Amino acid sequence: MTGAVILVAVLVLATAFGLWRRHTDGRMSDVPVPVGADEPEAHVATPDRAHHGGELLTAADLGEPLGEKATFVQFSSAFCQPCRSTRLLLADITGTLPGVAHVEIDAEHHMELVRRLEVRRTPTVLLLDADGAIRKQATGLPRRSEVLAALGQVV
Amino acid sequence: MNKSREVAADSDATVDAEMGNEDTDVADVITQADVPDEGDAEAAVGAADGDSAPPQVPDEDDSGESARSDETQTDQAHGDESPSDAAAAPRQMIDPRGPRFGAAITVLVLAVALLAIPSIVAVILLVWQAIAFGAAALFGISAQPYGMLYRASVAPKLGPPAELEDAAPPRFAQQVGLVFVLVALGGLAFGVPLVAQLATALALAAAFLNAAFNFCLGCEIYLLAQRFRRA
Repeated sequence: MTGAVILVAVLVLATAFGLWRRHTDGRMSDVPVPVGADEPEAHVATPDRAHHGGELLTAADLGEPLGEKATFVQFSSAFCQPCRSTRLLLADITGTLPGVAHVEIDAEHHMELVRRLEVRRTPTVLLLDADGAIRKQATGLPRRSEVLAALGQVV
Repeated sequence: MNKSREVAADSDATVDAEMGNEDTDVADVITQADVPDEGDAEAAVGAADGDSAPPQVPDEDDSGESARSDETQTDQAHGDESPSDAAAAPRQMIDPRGPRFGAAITVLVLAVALLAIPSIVAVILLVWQAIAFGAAALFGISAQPYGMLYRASVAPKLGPPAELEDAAPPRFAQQVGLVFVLVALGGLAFGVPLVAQLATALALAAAFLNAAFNFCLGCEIYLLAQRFRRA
């Protein structure tokens, strides 16, 4: 009897979790820029990320030069199914756009950056503007349409 | 592809490259399920073993090591086996529908086992599932019996996959699943059926998420575990 109760509970909870993840995964959400920055269109409240809003990442942080116009920073790890698809998607998008860079970061070898930016999952994709400020963020495989729309807002 | 390699500009990177080369020397026929491309001493020992005495299972130097010291399997799954830059090494690529098919079978097996605890049927099913997980954990994802069934009977009817995926994440998931099933068997062995039920339920949840949503729970926990481990 206990087993049947646990079985039903597990299936219900896992389904709810899966549906929630499917809903939120891959969305490019705004990362608010602090008041005073000259990018007013980015002021959308996402309180849990507020303290990273507009945080500047430099070439030294990433170990690679930033793009002139924008940079996608992808955090990846070895045991990560969607990371490969994310890499292919972002490489495809940035390959046709001069000035837009794609930097892939191995999360395991950059734990300080992972903790500083509170990266919890891979893939996590940050979109930086020309200054290196974090403007957009997505976890999970980003949706192409959302990536392009976010890029349009940032560039 | 080279970006993460360049970024990994610490001392590990050199070791990684060397170890990757050694592995392909040992077993150049078989593309690696997971080249141990981290600089951990333990993994280095594993690779060295593989070099000095060609392993029986040529594609898995590190798992050969873990097979010899049986209880290190858990550690391997959670830490030592951290092939980090996913793009650097030659990797075994597999049909992504195989692991999902296997996960669906796993869901059925574990669901029946969960209902059958604490009967002998549950023990048989959990032992069988442990063998299935263990085969993949020790010998690579191609040794997983459900994957074999998929390739033999299902894949020919489906046609080629739209894309391939890296074999390392599903194999890691099998290792995590093995740990849970072994805990469940331990619960039964020590007469604590609730432990067995909860452990089975967790493995079932992970397999269900994989089958229904293509979501790899173990893979996500991996980064969190890394964060805490090196905190």
